[in-house]
Amino acid sequence: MKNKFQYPLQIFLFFLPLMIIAGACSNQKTKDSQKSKNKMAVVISTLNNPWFVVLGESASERAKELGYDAHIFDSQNDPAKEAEHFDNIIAMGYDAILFNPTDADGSVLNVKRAKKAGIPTFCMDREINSRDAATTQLLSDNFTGCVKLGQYFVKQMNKKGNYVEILGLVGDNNTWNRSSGFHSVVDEFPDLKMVAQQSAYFDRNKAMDVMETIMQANPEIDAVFCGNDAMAMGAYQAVLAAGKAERIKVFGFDGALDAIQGIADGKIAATVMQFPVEMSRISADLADRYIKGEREFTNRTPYEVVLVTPENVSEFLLDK
Amino acid sequence: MRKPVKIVLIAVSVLAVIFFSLKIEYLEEYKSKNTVEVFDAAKYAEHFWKEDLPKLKEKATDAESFILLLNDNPDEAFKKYGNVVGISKTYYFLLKGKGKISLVEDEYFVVDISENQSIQVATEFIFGNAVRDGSGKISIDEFLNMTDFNNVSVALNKLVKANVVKKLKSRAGVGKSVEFVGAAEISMENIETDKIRIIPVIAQIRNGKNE
Repeated sequence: MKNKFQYPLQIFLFFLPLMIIAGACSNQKTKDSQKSKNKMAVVISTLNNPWFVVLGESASERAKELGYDAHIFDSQNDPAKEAEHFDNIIAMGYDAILFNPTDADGSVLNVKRAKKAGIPTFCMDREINSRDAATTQLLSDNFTGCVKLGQYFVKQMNKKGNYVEILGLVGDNNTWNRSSGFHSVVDEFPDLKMVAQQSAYFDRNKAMDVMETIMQANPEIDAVFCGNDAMAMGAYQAVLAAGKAERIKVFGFDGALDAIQGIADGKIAATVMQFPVEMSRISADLADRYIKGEREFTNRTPYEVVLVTPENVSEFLLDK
Repeated sequence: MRKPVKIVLIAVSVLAVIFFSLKIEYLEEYKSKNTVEVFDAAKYAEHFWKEDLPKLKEKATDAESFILLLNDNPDEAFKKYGNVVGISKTYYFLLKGKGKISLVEDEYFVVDISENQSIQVATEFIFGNAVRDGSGKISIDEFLNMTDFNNVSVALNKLVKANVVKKLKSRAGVGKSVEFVGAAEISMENIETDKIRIIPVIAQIRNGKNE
């Protein structure tokens, strides 16, 4: 006797492989549709500094304008956290990384790991010490900015006096490019004497503490050069609290809004304007071009910075 | 104690000693730590100064015709003769010319290169990237990082001071003839053709027939 379910079973068995293939295709299609919206990771050294917040948010915003999903990762100035972010980014299959590193040497390995996983990295503002790990690096021309600032400093000081230098992060090339640009000028004038040089990690509160301590040990200070505006504002607070605001000239770097206003108000002597919005947007554009197939990129691209003094500050107040 | 237990304990102890005396790390990490590249900017600059700079004398742009073009068509002057590094409105030029010194100041002297044109030759504030980038021969891609690239500027400026400016400053005087090759930095946003200042890289002053 014939089993009455024999034919349906045969039909089922006949179509089973086709169903599996169709299912796999459908699954692949779903994956493809998920993949169709590419992702850019924005890894920022620290979001504890407004300047880097602007850098990260502008990069993310531009990536979204270009049609990508964009996520910001905060490394909190901690290379270990940065390495974890790269692990996650690689595991999650991002298409590009817009990267502001924590350490010029320490971050190279992370970028190399991403490259090995097929994810291109585009450094923004801070560089890594490698010719080929990152696809390209778009960097503020810190050295040239501080050469300009150094020349202005020398003229403001009439080529003589005692000054303090407050450095940023010692593992960051920007710290040393700014410092060496400044010293390439100022050290040529023997009557300008640096009485103290100390790091305040680009942090406003730390700079205030550092400046207070230095002023106690060195009462005869005429100027302070800070590696960024956050530290310049911190140093100014210390100088003001010590009643020396009339004597000690404060110089910064970044072009932060409060420093620009500080120049207009006569609190800050000068700063150097960087352009984080433009740099991050261009970096996102470069990443987009890479994803679309372009492969010819220069190793590094310096981005011009501008000296801001009381003579030209009005231009920047209007812009803001 | 039983023999097998002893063997296991000894084996564990040996393994523990081996384990704690070894440090395991990624090969790539180890290599990157141990291949520190040391760049000698002074040596690089010295080589450039001796080998490349003399050849550039012929390639330098004539200052007189450059200033004429800069007045008439600045865009073309920048495009044709300028060098730019990265995204910038500041360009660098290598210029040559000759004329008579008409004014000597603390930081520069003025050379009249034609009836209506003059150029400033810097004798102080020899800073920045004009010499490095004016030549157009030193590429940023040669360097591991910006620090090395910038140190070339510092080293070249030191050579300018030691080899050119020191003598030039002591000999400069109104009425003397001078022939020069030098690098100028000009911003597209601030073109002042009557205040172009060069950092001299080759210069000869003549007082009558004497050099």
